[in-house]
Amino acid sequence: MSPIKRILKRAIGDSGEDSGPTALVSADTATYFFISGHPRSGTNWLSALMNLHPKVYCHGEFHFQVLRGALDHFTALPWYLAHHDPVRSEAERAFADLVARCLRAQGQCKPGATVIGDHTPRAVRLLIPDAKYLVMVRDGRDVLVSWTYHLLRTGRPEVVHETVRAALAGALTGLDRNAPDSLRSAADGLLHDQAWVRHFAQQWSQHVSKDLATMVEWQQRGGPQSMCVTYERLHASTESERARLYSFLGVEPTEALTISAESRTAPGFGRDDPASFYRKGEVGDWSNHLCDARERWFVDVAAETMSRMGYLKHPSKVDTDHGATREAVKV
Amino acid sequence: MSGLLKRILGRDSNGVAPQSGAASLHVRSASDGDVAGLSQTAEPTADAPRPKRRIWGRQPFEDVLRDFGSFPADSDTRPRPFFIVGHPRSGTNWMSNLLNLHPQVLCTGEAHFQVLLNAMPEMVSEPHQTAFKEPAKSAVARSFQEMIRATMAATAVRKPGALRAGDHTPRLLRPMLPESEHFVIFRDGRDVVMSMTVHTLNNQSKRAGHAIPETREIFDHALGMLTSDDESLYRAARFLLTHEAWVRRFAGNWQRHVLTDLETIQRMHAGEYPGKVMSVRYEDLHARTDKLRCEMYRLLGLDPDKAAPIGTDPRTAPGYTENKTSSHYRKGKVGDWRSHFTPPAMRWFDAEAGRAMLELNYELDSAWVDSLPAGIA
Repeated sequence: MSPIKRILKRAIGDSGEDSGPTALVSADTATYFFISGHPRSGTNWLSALMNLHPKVYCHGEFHFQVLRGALDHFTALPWYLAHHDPVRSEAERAFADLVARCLRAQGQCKPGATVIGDHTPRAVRLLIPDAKYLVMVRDGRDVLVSWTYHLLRTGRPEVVHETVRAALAGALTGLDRNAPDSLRSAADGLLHDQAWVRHFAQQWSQHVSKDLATMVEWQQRGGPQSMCVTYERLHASTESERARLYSFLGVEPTEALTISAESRTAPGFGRDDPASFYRKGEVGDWSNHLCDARERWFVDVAAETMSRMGYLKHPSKVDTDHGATREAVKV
Repeated sequence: MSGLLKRILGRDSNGVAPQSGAASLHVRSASDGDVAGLSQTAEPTADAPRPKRRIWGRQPFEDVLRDFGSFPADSDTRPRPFFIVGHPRSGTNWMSNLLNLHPQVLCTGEAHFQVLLNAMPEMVSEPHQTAFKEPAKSAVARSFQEMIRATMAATAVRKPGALRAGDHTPRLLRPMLPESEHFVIFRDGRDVVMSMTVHTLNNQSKRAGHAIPETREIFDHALGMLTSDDESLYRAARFLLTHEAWVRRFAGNWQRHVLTDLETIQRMHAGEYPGKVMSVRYEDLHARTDKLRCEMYRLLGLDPDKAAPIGTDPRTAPGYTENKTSSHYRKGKVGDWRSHFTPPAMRWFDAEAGRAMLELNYELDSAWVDSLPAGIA
């Protein structure tokens, strides 16, 4: 295990591979939560913050939404057995049970943890009916910049939509993924590409809109419990925000460990390392990459969602109360 | 006889075509040995390359399940699942009706577990995914199996006393539960192509009829031939069977399905996948219905004497007396293709599906192509 992984595991109380798994968390005492959001919105950071609490364990990405989508198909067609009750409700129950079993199995890595979570960066979906859901949202322009660097660093054109695949493949040609200047130059090229910017603006906008709609629907029908967390607000008021989130998860905020740069729980990384998964973590970094004209491409596509989230102002003046969002979703 | 079927069937098939009454039942459990007393050799040969079974370029999830072996079920009191599989229009419905004659069996519908199975590689294939490694990986595999058991058990609530819950989705054989029995039904591909053609017209299924660009126009034309007259359906079907793209597509699909299933059966026999598998040809089930259904009951651990006689449910006797063109249970006749295939259709079929025909012992060689069908020419 690398030194940094040891530090991180120690910080979150993860006994990890050194000591082996302990007894499975009891189904009677375990509660569950899910962190979701668009990729590069801070889901990793949020899970690290939650892991500072001794009773919370949120490690890894299960990607349950893949099976959730398959289950939707499995129950959709009238000639499928699971389209009708009692098979349908049993399939739903069995799916929730599958998710809970997997989380409990993973939870055994942190003795004492009873609040167990997953932080897959995807759209929020109902996975366990009585679980709690944290939905992370970050300014789409910062997501665009961060996502661009991430895609260049990981170098897999097949993961993006075919409309922008050629652009990414071209940018990867001749790229030295370990050289910061080479990455910066390639990122700048992609961020000059109108189709690239518009595509990801659309993707971000659709993702956030769908998440907000899901949360509104859940609130209207009285559950499950969800909470919207913005990256910018978490950055500006990390302590008060995480205390609010611990309370939401049902654990005592004062029992949590302190945040630190070492455990990557402090806001920002205090550096600019394009070759790292933890590149910068800065609010409003997009203004260093998108001139007015390029920002306009993004805003043209995503204005409505940005407005709902209060992102149409300069990020340094972001309305951390998010009035528009609060109106739609009682955060 | 040579190839996959020979290795699977062993001594009981002797290269005799089914019309002569050769037994093509083959039953074997990796753990129990030859249930039907058939022997087989499982060594792969150079002339039988394994079909590629990669899903989205990733490891099929049944391989993941196999790697973990058998996880015990949560509850032993629930009805235990079994599966009937096969190419669509091969008799999966009929087989389930036969099994339902037993008071301890309920096999009523199509669950389509492959929908869930196909999704699983996306959860376990990438290093950044939690279930790529332990302890999550085995938790996912175990929970997936439990999900199938629970869902199948829920299907049986409508039949008090049912000990076995069956699924009869027409799909590929894909072992998911190590303790389960799998019945694979094969049917002569020519009858399958004919039945698929009528079925596609009956349902006016553009999803199937338009699946490839070459068949769009002719399928729409065939739909236009349909009237309230039952015979118009057969005229439209025969029209489609005069088109090369139509015949080749359905024949090719059938061959791919059959070869993949034969390969999986072989792997199960070799112990590569756990579980019991019994395969039967539609034509043999037609000829010796009672004998074969008793073997199926026994494979499920049930007493055949408790089953109701064939005919108690009219859709359990070989063939269907309704003969309604619009019915899902249209005809059920062995060799119906002879009344509808033209010589060119026979050649196209043989080119696409000849190998599977040999493997399943429906023909000894391609000479059948040169014989004129009894019906139209």
